[in-house]
Amino acid sequence: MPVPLAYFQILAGVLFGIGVMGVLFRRNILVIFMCVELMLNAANISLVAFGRALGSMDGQVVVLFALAVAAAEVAVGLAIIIDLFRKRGTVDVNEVNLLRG
Amino acid sequence: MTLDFWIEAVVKVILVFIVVLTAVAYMVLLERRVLAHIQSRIGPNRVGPQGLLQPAADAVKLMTKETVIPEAASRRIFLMAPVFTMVPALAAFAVIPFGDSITLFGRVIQLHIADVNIAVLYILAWSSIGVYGIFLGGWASNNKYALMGGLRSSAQMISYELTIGLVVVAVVLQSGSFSLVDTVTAQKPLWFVVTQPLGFVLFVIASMAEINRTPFDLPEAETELVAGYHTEYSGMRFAMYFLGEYANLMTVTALATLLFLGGWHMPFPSPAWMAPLWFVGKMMALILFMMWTRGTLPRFRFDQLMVFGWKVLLPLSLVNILVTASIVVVRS
Amino acid sequence: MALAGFLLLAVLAVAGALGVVLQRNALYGALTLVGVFATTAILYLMLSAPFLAAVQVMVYAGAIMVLFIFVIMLLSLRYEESGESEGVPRGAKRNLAVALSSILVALLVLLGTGLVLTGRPGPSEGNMASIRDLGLTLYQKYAFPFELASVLLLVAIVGAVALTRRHGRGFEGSVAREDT
Repeated sequence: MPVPLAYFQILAGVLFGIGVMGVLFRRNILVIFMCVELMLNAANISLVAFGRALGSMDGQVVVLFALAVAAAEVAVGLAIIIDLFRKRGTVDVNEVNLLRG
Repeated sequence: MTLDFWIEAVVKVILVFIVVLTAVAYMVLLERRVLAHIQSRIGPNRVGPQGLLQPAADAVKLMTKETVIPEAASRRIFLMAPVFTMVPALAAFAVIPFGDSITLFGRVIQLHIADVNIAVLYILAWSSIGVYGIFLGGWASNNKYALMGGLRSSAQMISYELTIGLVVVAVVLQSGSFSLVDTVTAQKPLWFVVTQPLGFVLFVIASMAEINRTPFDLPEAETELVAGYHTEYSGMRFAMYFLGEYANLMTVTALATLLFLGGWHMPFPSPAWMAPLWFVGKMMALILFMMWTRGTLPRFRFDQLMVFGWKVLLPLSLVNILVTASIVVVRS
Repeated sequence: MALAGFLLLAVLAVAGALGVVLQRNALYGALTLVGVFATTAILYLMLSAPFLAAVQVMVYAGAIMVLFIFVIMLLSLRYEESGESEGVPRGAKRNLAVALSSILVALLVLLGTGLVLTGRPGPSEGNMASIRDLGLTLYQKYAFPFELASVLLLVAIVGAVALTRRHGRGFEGSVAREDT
């Protein structure tokens, strides 16, 4: 019996929700960043599932672009984190609060 | 998915597994003999006739040796890291075709475990995973030399993976498919080494760097870094790293044979069952070439290595793609 | 049988995701995330996107996570307590976070189950998509985004190097030289 489209969307939704929980809960900036990647991954699964269900290649192509964007984002994001770590000596986001009102 | 299919698949997997592991063990012996002769000595020839039981002796030694885990090491990662080197090397053999097809017991049996339409990408993906074994092992050892060796080696592997990928792109341009069986079939008229000689040279050089072989073996050079990322490993886990390295050697030479040297095609007509022998023969030629370079060339310094990978090989592979693409377009 | 495979993969993926979020040691979390990406790659195979599966492993699991793990190792070499001192926060913040993410998950699950009713064909049947079609779509319909993506990647490379340089020095000014 083939797997219904809905199951893939539910899986993507659950993964996305777990990623959101991670971003909200954790204080280590690297873990937060990893949860953002998890969310991106969940969105990719959803896109590919839709693309396949609708019989169109667009799902896969958009995911390819999303992958490229994620790679670029990770490169620059990690560079920023390293820079932050050098200046502030911590990876705890609660301690990077100079601009707090 | 009949029972026949499953039996055939399981038999093939077991056969390939056993053959590859045995071949890897004897590859070590071959390397020691070849290097010895290049260095005007003999090499292991005491254990069994001409040293042919040496791998068995080595296996017994390594299996009975105690696994020493450094105290401050990250235990879980330390134990897990060699798996990341060994599994990709072996898994790549699932898509490597050794020949066309033979008829046995009334069935036509294809001489590969699986013919996937992304075979080349599959092998490249597995080699990307192989990077983990190196630097996780280096880091988990909690040892300066191991860490430096691990980081350098993974930087080297990642850099040269790019060249390999681009050369593969040029080959795929000419063969029109990512499947290895289709690539070999496309070489029936003319081997790709004739039409893309630059690609072949680039592929061989880049794969020597990819598998950390001399002249690119700085990360594990005894004179520089004790033993690099596998300094702290002993016994079975060291054996896994070692076997993984030689299995990688077999994988890249098999890939080079399939992509450039016509796979199992024979220069003169022969019976079909000789095809795997021709394939293995071509592989052995490349393997002996790599052992020869190991015994001959001095090793690259790390910054020379990186400059070579990024500033020489990468632009050359792009030129290769350009030329190949223009010829393909002009021809069609 | 496809259903059993999917359920197994789904359980592995969710377990991996929970592992990323709940583990204190960031390095173990990163390795768990690699597992999630590998599971996703197999899911792509199930959705007949073989090229994407291979690219997912090569890019996400093989490059992005390697970079992540490098940075985690680099930063934890000098900052021993790479986890939080407090762990999961308590009180109002926590309840708010749980509530928000539960609403989000519930909405997405409703979307998913709503799709069951429309009777769309299941995505995990049929032949593998051909890479040729993917290439044709990519280079014909999406040619402009493709070029933009390459510019984006170039900008990212230059940006990453520029951000981590120490001023006034050349090759020695990058992170790698400073620490290894």
